[in-house]
Amino acid sequence: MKMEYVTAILLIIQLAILSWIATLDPVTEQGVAALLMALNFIITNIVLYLYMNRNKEFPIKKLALDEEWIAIGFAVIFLVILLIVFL
Amino acid sequence: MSGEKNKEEGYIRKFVNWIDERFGFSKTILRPQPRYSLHPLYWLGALAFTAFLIQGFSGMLLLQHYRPIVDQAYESVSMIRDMVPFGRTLATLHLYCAYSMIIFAFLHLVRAYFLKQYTRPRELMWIVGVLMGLTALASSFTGYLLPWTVISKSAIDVSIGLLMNLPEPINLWIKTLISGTGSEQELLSRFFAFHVVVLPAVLLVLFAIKMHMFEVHGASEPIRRRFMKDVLDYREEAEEKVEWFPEILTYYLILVFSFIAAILIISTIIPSELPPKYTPEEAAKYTPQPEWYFLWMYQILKIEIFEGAVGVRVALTLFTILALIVIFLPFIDRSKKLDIWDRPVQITIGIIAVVEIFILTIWGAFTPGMTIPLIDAIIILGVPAVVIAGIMYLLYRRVKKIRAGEITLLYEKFIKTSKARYLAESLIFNLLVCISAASTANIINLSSLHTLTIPVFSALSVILVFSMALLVKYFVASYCVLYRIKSGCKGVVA
Repeated sequence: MKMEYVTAILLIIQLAILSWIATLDPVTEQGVAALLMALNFIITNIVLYLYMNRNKEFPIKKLALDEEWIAIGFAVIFLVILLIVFL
Repeated sequence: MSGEKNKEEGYIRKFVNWIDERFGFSKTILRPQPRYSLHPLYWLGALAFTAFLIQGFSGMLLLQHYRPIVDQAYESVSMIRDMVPFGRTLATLHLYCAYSMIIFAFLHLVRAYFLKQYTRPRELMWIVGVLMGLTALASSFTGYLLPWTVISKSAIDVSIGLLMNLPEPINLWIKTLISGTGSEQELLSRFFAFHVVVLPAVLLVLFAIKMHMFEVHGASEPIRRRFMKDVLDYREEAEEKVEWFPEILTYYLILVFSFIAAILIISTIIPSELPPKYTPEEAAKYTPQPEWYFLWMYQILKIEIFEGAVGVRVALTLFTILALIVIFLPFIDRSKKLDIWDRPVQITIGIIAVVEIFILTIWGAFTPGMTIPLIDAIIILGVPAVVIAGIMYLLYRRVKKIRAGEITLLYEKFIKTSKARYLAESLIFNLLVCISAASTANIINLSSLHTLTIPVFSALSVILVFSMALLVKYFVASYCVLYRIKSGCKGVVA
């Protein structure tokens, strides 16, 4: 997958998360909102990481050693989603 | 940042160049930095300051609702947590950023000590850095009182009581400075003023001075570079520069966003609790305990020989001497040796100090209000010190062998050792330590240790031994690689 497409998808996900935060009650649901904000920061990090590596060959399917941070980023996103579901 | 090659680049680059032409950042504060500085360990100070900035931002928002009046302080904090939009998150963020600031500052200090970054011409940078650390501690100390909870107020009372044991007139000066006439309202008002205005202002001034010196002297060279100065490949790598925009900025933002995300996740999983409001009746039910970053000092004060007015004076004098040694370290440690492997005594003292602070903090958390018998203190603090000294002696003896020429054997041996073996060795070592600790505690019947749970210590020590083994492997292996390259050996993959 091309880097530009990955970045575009991530930015759309970020917008969706921001819209979700806007619908939450800022007093009773602030825990979920905080986790979603954390999620957004992690996605921003992935976008920044992709940007940092913009001139590199970047096959997202095959995670080379240098791209293991992306894998870690996705793993953290998954963990935060689990937290949002179970907290 | 500007240049011919960038002329045809995008709008962001054009905008950055436009700004840079006016402010000249790329020639002053944001000049290109060496590539080796793109490593988290080079950013500990920056992360500490970032935590301070987040505290400033969250503090300003909290300030909209907080009331520094004895009868209203607790209620306003409670209201922030329960009624203000994102109030609980903000309050927790503010608190955890203070903790992070102290942790980052401590790690920054420890790193500077081990890498001896306080040598000429960075002596004053070290002193200013230590003063910044002390100011950050004072800021946290003053902020602790503001919610006016039973725990915070009791802890501050105990701390002030301890300071009153200082010789006159120093104790009176301190008392007047922090609590005025001694009324509760004046105490709260002064702590509020210190926390919100005085200490942040001092911190900012110190930061500006430190940044100026940083701009003049730059980042300290990595050990590898110091050691490999005369090897061409390393010199070229060390001299490679990266620009602030976009490389360093992107890297810094990744670090900062990771930090904020981690704090937000931790704030949600473990939100800060608000203990009951302070009243004399409520205070009688609680054992006063300072915040965790002062626990190691408090634990020392609880040792029986430091009980009573004279004992406290002796302990406070020792703390003052310790603080002065740390502040003026660049003028005390005048040796020219920079390499870790040439400074066995300093490195051993540093490791013992860090481990003892860690032990005292954990120990203090488990023994609130308990007087510590002298024999317990000698065993719990003395044994790890002796063990570390022994390990370091063996390690340095091994390094001596490396230098004597037995490099290949050690290098191959270290590189081929698997993580599984380190884990197994850690488990066996830990088992032996636990058995010996349990039997020793049983034989001598340590009264202050019985509340410590064996599983907590077991888990901690496994992690500690495992990480130490990996760390030693990393250091020795990389040293061997560098040494071989320097000696002109072929076929080494760094």
